[in-house]
Amino acid sequence: MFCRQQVAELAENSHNFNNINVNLAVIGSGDTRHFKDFKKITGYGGLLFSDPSLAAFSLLGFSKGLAGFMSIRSVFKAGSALKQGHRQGSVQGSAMQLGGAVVIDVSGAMRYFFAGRKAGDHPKINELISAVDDSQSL
Amino acid sequence: MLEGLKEKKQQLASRGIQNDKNINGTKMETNNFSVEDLGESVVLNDRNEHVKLSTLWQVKSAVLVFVRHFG
Repeated sequence: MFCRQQVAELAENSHNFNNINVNLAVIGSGDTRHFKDFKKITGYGGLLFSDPSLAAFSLLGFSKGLAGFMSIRSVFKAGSALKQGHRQGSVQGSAMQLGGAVVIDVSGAMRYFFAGRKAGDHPKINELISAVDDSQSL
Repeated sequence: MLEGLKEKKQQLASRGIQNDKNINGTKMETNNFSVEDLGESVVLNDRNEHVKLSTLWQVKSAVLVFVRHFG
């Protein structure tokens, strides 16, 4: 449900990302056959990719394993996600793999890095947009 | 103090980080990877075609959001 919630938020803010002329891409690890349903459920119409080998996740150092799976905070976040109508579907990808986000500018410089520590940790949309704004104002 | 900040920014820039305020947490958590290495990573698009990540920031900045799964 966290992933649905996160991507639905991105979808709601797609116009903000379009306004700043950036390539927004969501990368998971499940089978590409599930892209269509995932887009339909979340309302996300942007770039969607799969990294089935988790090579990029691993390179970025995103946590994997039970330790990062759940916490008390995650349980509260789950309640919030459920309230918003984001139910857990069948898991397509690695449930034990945590996510994150990076912003990279055209020079190849990384402007933002976020690594989830527990399930339900998401980068803030305004931080992502701000990081792009900062890079474009230089 | 300013010298210290300058030095820290130089260290971060050498690792590909240009703006330390955008790193979550207080410790460096970037696993010492290089953006070049990340750019060489290949992902699959909806047609099962291989796409090199670096192509996403060739023309404009890229926001890459990694999710746990598609469920």
